[in-house]
Amino acid sequence: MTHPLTIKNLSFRYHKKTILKNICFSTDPGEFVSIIGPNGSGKTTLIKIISKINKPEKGNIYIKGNDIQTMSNRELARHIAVVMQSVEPVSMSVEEYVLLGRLPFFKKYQFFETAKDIKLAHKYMELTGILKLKDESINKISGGERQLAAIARALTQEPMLLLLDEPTSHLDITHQIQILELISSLKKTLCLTVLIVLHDLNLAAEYSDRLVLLNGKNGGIYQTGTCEQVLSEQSIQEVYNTNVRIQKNPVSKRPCIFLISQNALNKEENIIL
Amino acid sequence: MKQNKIKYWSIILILLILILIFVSLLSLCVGSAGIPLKDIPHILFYDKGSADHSILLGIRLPRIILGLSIGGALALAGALLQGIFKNPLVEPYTLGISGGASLGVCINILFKFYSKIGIIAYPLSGFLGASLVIFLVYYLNNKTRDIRSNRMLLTGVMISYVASSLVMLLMAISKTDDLQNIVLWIMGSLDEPNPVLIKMALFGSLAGLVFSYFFCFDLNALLLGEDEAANLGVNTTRTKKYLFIIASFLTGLSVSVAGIIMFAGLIVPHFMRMIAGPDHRILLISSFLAGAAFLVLCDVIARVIISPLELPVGVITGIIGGIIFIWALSRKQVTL
Repeated sequence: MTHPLTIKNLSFRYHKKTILKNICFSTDPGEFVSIIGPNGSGKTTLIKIISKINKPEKGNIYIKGNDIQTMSNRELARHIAVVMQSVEPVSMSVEEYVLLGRLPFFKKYQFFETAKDIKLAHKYMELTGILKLKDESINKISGGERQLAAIARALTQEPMLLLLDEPTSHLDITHQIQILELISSLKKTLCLTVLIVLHDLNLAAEYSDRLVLLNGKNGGIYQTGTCEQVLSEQSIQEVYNTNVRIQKNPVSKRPCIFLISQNALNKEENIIL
Repeated sequence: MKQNKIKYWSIILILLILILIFVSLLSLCVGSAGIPLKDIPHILFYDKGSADHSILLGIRLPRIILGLSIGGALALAGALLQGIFKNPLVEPYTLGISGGASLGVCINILFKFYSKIGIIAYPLSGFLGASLVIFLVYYLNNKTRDIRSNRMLLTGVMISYVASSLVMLLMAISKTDDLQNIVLWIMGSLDEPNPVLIKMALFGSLAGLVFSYFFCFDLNALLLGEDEAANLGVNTTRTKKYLFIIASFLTGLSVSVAGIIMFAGLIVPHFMRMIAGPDHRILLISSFLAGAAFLVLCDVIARVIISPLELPVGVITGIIGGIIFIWALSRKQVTL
């Protein structure tokens, strides 16, 4: 079985500073993998290297066994789609925006979208629930709707690997849940492999099949594994330098992280003493 | 929805072509010697030796062709640059590209390259000057990665100042007959006696239009930002390089034939974006047509406003364009 994505010995330096070092992992088809780690640990950089925006210093990335350095941007865009943190304001309509996802499939000298392109765009606008907004300008819709449009555009590329870089970081909890529900349902209906950067550890724990915890200090991976394996009080202490408590979510039975104020921690220490 | 779009785009194109034909006919009729429209066919076909015949074919028609080519070229260059830089206030003049081209042409006049390699030295020197500035502006601002900021516009204005100072320096040290050449050319006018340059302008600007269409989808993707465009499979470095070359070619050509014509490349794409939308498939051709009509119209105004004297056409576009530039700058939300 070929993995949709395999990363081997990846290293990246920026202004002589090591951002990523010896990153190795791979994903299985239909898997939901979250990348977590502190600020500056290279989560976004990793996404940008996989989507060929940044060039790695060392190491290789394989999409279905093919090295991305041997693929053109266009070829790559037919296999992976990227949703970034936010959508730049543009005055085009939602439909025009979503249709841009068909660009990698345009034939030479093709000037108009085909009926199939429009059908696909409508299908995924329907799926993401933004079909009713199709004639609205991207400028005029809300941040949550814009992220849904970005996901619809990415799906219109019909990728086998979907990369998302903190797609929910500017959104309220309604939209956070809506978007993550949507993505985890897609992985089932479309057998899509999802690699997502998440800031919110509880959301990551709730939705991921597997976590990749980046170290932050030396650019390596601290640990990969299931949520229960990776999220422990000790690992959070070591990577994030933060004292937390972890219990099971009463409904989903997934790990749930509690942040604690210094004041409360002091009180607890006093009681123990 | 595809049918609707094609219908809407066709209407825009037909209207623009009608406007273009109208202003061209207007330009044929109006001038120090007014020629009524209904007499024109008669003069053209049966009155070949007359003074009116030579005014129409020898003076006004070349002028219209030049106006169409230069207006189209400048507006197209503006549309391309606004697309690459994602800034609606960018155009050949505000980025200092026209300034660079004029410096190139001045050096050509002063060192008499044209006597060595022929008339092509004019557009060639303009093109070299323009491309030098465009790459300079881009790389000075590329480091900050914040290409949308108005810092780039400021860099362009500064380069424009430096270029015009250098032009003045060249004028100060040049001999009288060179000086006259430079001054006449800098004033900016569509009065170009050389038929080779007129042909070059026409075919050059049309070639620019054709080549820019190879990149219309890349430009659409670039509207989302460079990273997003790359995610959609666009080779952004290569695309930008080619578009810069096309834009410098169009600007260099315009400046070397017609001098500096301010703001034509700013207003036209700006308005076409409002009417036709941001899709470059329609924006490029409609900007070209509208720019052509706009410059021919400005030329008519320049010819009649203080008739029998004639204003440089750059004065008219400068006044209209300057006012619209300030208006556009003061609008709160200027996005592409």
